[in-house]
Amino acid sequence: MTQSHIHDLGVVGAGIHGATVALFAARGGMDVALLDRGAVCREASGVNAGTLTMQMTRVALIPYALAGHRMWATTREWLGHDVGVVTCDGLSLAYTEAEEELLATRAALRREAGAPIAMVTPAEAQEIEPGLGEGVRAAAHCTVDGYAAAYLTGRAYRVALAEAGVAIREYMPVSAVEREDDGFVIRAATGAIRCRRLVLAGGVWLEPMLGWLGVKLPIKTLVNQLAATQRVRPVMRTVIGIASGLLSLKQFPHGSVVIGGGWQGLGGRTKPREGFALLPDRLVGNVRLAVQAIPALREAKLTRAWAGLEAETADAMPAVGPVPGVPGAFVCGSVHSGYTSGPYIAKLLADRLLGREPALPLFPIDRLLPEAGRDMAAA
Amino acid sequence: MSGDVTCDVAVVGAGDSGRRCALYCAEAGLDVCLIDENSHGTPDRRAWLRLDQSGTPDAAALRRAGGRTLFSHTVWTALAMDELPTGGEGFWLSAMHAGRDTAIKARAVVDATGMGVRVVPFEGWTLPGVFDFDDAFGFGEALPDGPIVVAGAGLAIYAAAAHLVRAGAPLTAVIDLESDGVWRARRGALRAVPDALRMAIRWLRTIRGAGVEVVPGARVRAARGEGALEAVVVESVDAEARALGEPERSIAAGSLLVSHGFMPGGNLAALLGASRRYDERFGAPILNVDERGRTSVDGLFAVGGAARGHSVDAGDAALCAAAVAADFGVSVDEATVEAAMRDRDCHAPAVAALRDAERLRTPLISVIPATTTICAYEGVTRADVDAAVDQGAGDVSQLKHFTRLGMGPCRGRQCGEIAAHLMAQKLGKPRSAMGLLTPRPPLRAVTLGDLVGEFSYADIPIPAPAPL
Ligand SMILES: Cc1cc2nc3c(=O)[nH]c(=O)nc-3n(C[C@H](O)[C@H](O)[C@H](O)COP(=O)(O)OP(=O)(O)OC[C@H]3O[C@@H](n4cnc5c(N)ncnc54)[C@H](O)[C@@H]3O)c2cc1C
Repeated sequence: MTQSHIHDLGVVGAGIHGATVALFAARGGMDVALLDRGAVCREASGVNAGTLTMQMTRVALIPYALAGHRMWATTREWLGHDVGVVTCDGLSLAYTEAEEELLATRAALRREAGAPIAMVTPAEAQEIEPGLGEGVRAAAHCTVDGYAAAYLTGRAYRVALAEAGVAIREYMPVSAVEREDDGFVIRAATGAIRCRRLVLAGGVWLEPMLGWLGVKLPIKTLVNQLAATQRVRPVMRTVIGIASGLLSLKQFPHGSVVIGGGWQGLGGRTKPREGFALLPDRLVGNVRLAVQAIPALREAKLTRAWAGLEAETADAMPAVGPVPGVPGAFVCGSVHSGYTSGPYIAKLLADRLLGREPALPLFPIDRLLPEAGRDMAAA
Repeated sequence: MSGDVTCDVAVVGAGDSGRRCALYCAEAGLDVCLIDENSHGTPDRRAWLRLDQSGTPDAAALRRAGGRTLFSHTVWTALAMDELPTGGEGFWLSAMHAGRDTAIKARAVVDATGMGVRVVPFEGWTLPGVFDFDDAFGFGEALPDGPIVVAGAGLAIYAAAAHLVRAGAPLTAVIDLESDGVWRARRGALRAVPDALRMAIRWLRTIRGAGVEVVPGARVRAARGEGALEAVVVESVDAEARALGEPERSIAAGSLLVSHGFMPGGNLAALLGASRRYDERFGAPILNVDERGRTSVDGLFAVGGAARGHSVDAGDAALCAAAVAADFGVSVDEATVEAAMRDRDCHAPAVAALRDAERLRTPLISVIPATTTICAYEGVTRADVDAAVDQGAGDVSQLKHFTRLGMGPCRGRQCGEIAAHLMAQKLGKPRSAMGLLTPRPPLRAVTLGDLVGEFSYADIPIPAPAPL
């Protein structure tokens, strides 16, 4: 490729958001370059818990998550490759009076938003999930739930992206983006890539990325801890959570159980070193919730614990849409439970880039910028 | 966070180096805890492999010098206190003891967790009856079924064979990748550690005396059998383990014990953030340490096998203890340090020779058959690794995601290295360009039941709910 080649679209960040935008834009006929400082889907999008649940999704995002769930359930059809998706029932549990109230309120709101959730008694919950232990006061049952093997995301996407003709540029840390008359120059130590339009999809790194364009959007970094067990006999068959959202639990077909729920580890985008460390007592707290729900897990052995970085805007709603004041530049990310709805939301943005009207509204970032930013957008 | 145990220095691993280092630290007046997963009195797992006969200080000596021992304590995770939002000095170790999680706070940590055994996969190596040395000698007194074949590289195969003969096990053959000639050429170097040479000669006599056949310059090409090992197929190889094309032979066997050498450990230090690099000499990752065992993290040290692979003398431990003591403002007798340095310099040729005998012969990796398993726990074959590379896996972490290789209990310490070489060979790049697997807890598998203990729901410190 020569320096002067100009791609129709440059996408920086090859997580679920960037990779999906690139995929559908390329399938729609655009000449796309996708860049990442590492490999495809190896940050949040490759290390997440893979839960595809409505019961941890923000109410406003339920329609997007339902559409995302449908996409995950049919990856072979549109992605062409398998990500180990299993669809099943989901239960969210309450163990205290306060949790019972929380659960009832949240389940009702999510149901209103379209999620097929119903409150069930402990006995009914036990029938849905025979592995449940004691102490359940109430449960919310959702018939649309499931999980993917998130670590397979990169493999499936990488092959699909190559098939769609996307120029995949891995191990290429971008250090700056400059505006040109008719587009952008994406600069990295190992070279530069020119494009007419630009999508920034940097996960927790969206803040420095938007900084390249002079836009200041604060992004908070969550450090979500996860744990996995060695293979054990089948001990559960549903996705289990709790009312507060601080547990996500399921057993993969090969026998390993993954325990998550967003207990926070240490570290982040920059401090003290990029990456994270796990807090042992929080790991224990998270595992206690898992053992409370499925007591047979006591015999399982912890084999791996890790964490990943998840982005959050000031209002905890997504940042997906045009960059105010920078024609041709777009942002895509910071979606809560973004693995579930990511493919759908990113596809909406691809539609927009291809000149089609997105089926559901995007989430422009104007609302998150100081007045100056909005004026710029208006100008 | 407050610890159940607090000390100046936590030395993790009570092998030779760990015991010595702990003793020297205690003698320097530091408050030392020596931690090991083995119970008190259990002999060192690899005692049979010991070259140095000068004796290892026992726990009593450490206690007399004012040190403490925490045996039957399995360190499963660790944290540098300065990672905490509250800041802080030193390190936090979580150790499982009698089904209970124990916290140990130490201002300095010495990783003395030793080495890991390497097995380069070959056809049939996952058959029941084929063991690596740790599997074979890790379970008390039970002996493997005969007839036994020991194979691989390095002095350890002779140590293992002699150990089996002394225990009365039905050993029939020792298959050594190295030729007689190379061993003869190494004698001069080994003489630098007279104990080691004497031990090696004694092992060889024991083996020959028992009528065991020694086959030098050969490798196990395949382990065969219906459901379990029945025979070992052996072929002659050159110095780099390439087949010479001579007729192969089959040796009847009930057990095959394999070691292609030992790799430096250092997983605890790596988990605590110490930097590592790929080291050609070992064909494995190694911690970046200075000559006294200081890692890239302040207050974190490594000694012995964890730091530099084989060590055959007390010098390493003395130097490391001196560096630890210096951090606490305690000066140790310079004469001792200088003597330790001299010892180490003069032993260096022998250590290099031992390491060379165990070097990774990459042609062994090139010839792994497509259907042979690389990661036994996840059932990932060479063909799977090749396919993942074809689909764009460009480093070991990506390979792990693509194939699950290394997600099992060994955490890829064995298979990860083999896979990295396979990838490098296929991509025509150096091994060092394939990256290193990221160290993650737990250092040892722990049962969830032990981890959580007895608790009531109200005791779980559940954070505030996520926004709706
Ligand atoms: C541990 C964990 C568990 C989770 N569990 C779930 C769950 O169960 N269900 C669910 O729905 N959601 C879950 N999530 C959320 C979900 O994973 C994320 O919302 C989603 O993956 C974010 O995708 P992304 O593409 O925006 O970001 P990422 O996947 O982080 O992608 C951003 C990319 O940008 C690249 N990049 C950064 N800087 C540069 C640069 N300078 N140059 C080039 N490239 C750069 C990065 O390398 C990275 O690949 C979880 C998140 C975490 C962290």
